[in-house]
Amino acid sequence: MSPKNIIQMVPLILIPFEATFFSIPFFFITSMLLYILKPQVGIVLVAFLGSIVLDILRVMPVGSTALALFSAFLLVEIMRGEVIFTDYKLATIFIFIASFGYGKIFQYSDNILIYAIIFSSVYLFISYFYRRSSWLK
Amino acid sequence: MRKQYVILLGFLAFAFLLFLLRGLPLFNGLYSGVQNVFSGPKSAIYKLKTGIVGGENSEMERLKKQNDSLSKKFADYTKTIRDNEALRSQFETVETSEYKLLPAEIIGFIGRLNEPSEFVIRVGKNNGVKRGMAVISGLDLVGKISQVSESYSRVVLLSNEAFTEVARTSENGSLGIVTGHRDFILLAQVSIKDKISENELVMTRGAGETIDSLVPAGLRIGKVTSIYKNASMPYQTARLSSSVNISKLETVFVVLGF
Repeated sequence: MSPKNIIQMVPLILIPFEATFFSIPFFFITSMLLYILKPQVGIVLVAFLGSIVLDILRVMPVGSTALALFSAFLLVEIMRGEVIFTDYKLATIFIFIASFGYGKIFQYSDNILIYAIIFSSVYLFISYFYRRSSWLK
Repeated sequence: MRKQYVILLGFLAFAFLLFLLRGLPLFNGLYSGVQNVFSGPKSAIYKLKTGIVGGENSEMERLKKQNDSLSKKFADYTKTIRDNEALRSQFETVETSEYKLLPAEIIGFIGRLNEPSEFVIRVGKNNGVKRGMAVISGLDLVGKISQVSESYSRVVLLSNEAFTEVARTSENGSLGIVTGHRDFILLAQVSIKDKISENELVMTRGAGETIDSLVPAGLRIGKVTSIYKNASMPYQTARLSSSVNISKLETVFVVLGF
């Protein structure tokens, strides 16, 4: 299995942890991040299946996470090509707002400090690891 | 670009269709299958979180014995309460009831890490669980069932803003409504004429002539820690503290019948 395929599976690996005790929507965040960086059908499929499984495990209305996630993907697609996603800072802010909103609606933690710490790490990942590595390219 | 839109809209439409049709019996096998597959890993992860390690068989045996002991104590306790009420009123008849308890393992929570608002437990429709049933630990009310699927259920905890229950104080018999407020539990809408004392126990009121409830009477909700009273208002409120340590709970009991 190539590193690319392993990274695509990261959202799925996080599901049992998120359905048990994570209070931050990591599945949503990682799916958004991977979709912005690499909008491939494999990632879309993983995101869809994962969101259904997550809803079943969290005893949420099945399909609700998929609706939220794919609405966000659609918004990304509408905005892609415009100025916003050529700048990774703006992409990080977009994921931050989307995941905070998702977390508020779907009963995750609403501690803004935790989100700020996570997204600072996301920004560092995008800024340094993605640009300097060929794994995701 | 157009192809990507089509793919996303296709998945979005499928998700919407699934959302609309999620209640169909057709999907019950899927929900049950997924929940059963993940039950083991979730249980192990949750145990790591609470720091409890133990053999499953010995744990089940211990829980079964505890269930039997608690069932008996619960029945005796509530009978004593009803006997007292009957003596006081002189008009009520007392029936001895047996409370049917279902042990349920906690396998997840929803909300903040240090202050969860709901639990996910490993029992569901397949075990006879229904929405609104009480969930207890010992004689303490932990919460009520809010959502039920095939093999899992969600328990809304006392501190959850969606939690409400009719309650009465143990000493003075004052009636009120218990609601969750995230960081604390509130006993509200207690008549200004009724008396509430600090450290007084607050118990569930249970079903009555005008109240249809799946929660039995006499379950301990908490203790009064402070009272807010204004003589010009028709109601007074009291802040409660629960004696249940939510972060250490591993197993609870669903009251299936009473």
